[in-house]
Amino acid sequence: MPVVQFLRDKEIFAIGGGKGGTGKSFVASNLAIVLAKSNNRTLLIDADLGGANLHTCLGIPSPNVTLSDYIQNPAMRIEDVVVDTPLRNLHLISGAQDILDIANPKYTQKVKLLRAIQSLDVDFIVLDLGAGTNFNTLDFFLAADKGIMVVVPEPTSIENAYRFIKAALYRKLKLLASEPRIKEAIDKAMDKKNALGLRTPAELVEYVGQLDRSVGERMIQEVGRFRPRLVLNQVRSFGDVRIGYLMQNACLKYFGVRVDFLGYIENDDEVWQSIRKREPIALNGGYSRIAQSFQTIAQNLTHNLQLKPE
Amino acid sequence: MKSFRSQNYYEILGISRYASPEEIRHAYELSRQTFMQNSLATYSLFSEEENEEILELISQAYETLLNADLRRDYDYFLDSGDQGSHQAWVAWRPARPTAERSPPPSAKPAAGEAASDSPPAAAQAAHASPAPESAAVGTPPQPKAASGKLDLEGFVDSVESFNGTALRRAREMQGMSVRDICDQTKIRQTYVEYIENENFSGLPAEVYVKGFVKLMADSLALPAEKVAREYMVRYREATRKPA
Repeated sequence: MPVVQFLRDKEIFAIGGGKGGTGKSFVASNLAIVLAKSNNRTLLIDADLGGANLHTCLGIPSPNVTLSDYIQNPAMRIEDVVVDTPLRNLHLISGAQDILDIANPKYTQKVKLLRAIQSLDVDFIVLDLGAGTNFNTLDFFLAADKGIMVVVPEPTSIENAYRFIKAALYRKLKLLASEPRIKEAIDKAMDKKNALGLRTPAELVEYVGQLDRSVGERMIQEVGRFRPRLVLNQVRSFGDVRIGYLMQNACLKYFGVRVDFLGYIENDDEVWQSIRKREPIALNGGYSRIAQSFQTIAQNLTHNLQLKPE
Repeated sequence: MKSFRSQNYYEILGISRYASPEEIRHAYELSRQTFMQNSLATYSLFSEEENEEILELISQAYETLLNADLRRDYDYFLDSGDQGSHQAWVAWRPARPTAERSPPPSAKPAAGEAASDSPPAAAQAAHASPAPESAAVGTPPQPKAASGKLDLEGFVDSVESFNGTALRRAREMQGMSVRDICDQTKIRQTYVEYIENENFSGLPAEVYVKGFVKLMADSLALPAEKVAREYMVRYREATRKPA
């Protein structure tokens, strides 16, 4: 495997993107393996609080300690729930499994968890988020240094990805608002058919700018800073790859948001078999096309690059 | 962070002020596909009407920026301090002395060839240019040639399958001679003529013809892959040996 020289600052990557079944855990585990194999101390965290299964993706037995132990037990330190994996540089915090209310941690628990994660002495942290656009998912996505959406080239997945971008962006904007009428405008704008007639973020920001100029200006900056990454999974043709570029263009036009297209993963029997065998592709198949796709994705992610336009 | 209606032509295509014609073509193709009917990338974001409006802006941007004269005028317009929205540009342009050659960009019928015999086209043109001074004092408008030149996209859509005649029409619409094509593509003049006239027996091997057609389509700002594919179907049908 080629040695990839990554930047040495600690970075947190969050993997989300709306629809379930698009391969978020698959991408998260293989990305973490590629990072770890390139000599970076990497921590994979299963933050899919409702349906954790990363240990299965990695092919290791269900750990004795999980994130729920940390969340429930104030005496525990985050280090106590970190477990080793067969890969020297890769560590795992397994997700909550049985206790249902852990799927909805209180705000204070969430903040505590994020602080704890940020304090860990590693090079990279990969957070595997669940499906959907609930506040937990969005908050982790926004708190990360870089958020990655895993999308498959299908109408449902693309539609959910856009909904995810919108929900994340509006949640981000709402944090800037203190005035009730601005908060209300943002809430209303979430609904496509709102009475204010605000359909795009540009229209919302313009409207807010009329209410309060300085808040409007700060919102424009926030939109500019929001830069989700895109990974296209289960790609079957060049036409499918093209969808990534088209989505980029559409996001820029509709949301005013720049999306970095990190790479794509082909639809391949190798993937299916690796999941079946519980052996991550990037672990052993260093030279396979799929493993190389993950190399590209990791490169682009850590170097702030993206796929070259066709 | 602007609504697409207030974006300038460069912003609409997502390119820099220094973009080359090649980059403009590429950006145009990408933008067109993004907003095409039934496009996976936009169907859940924009309504059909918005998509059409954006597509219209995209083709206006393309046609303006790919035409060296118009682009110079447009750049001058931007440099004079305007935000450069399509609307502002249409309103500004007829008043400029340099812009005497063509009608306002909005005077665009649905398909190039239908210009002369389609009444809605005339109504559209009148609607889009409230006070075209140049039309009043300058040369009378020539709807067919001029709008044809502006409406390459409509032409492409109207062509069922590209053949020699369609290539020639695309060339004539853009006011280019066979010589111009030869200069741009470095293809021999005879071959360009043979391709347009479908004189297949005078052409070299299939693989060369395909390359030539692609180059020609490129220099005519046509979708090269599509044109070559369709032309080669015709070529193969005509040159197939009798069984």
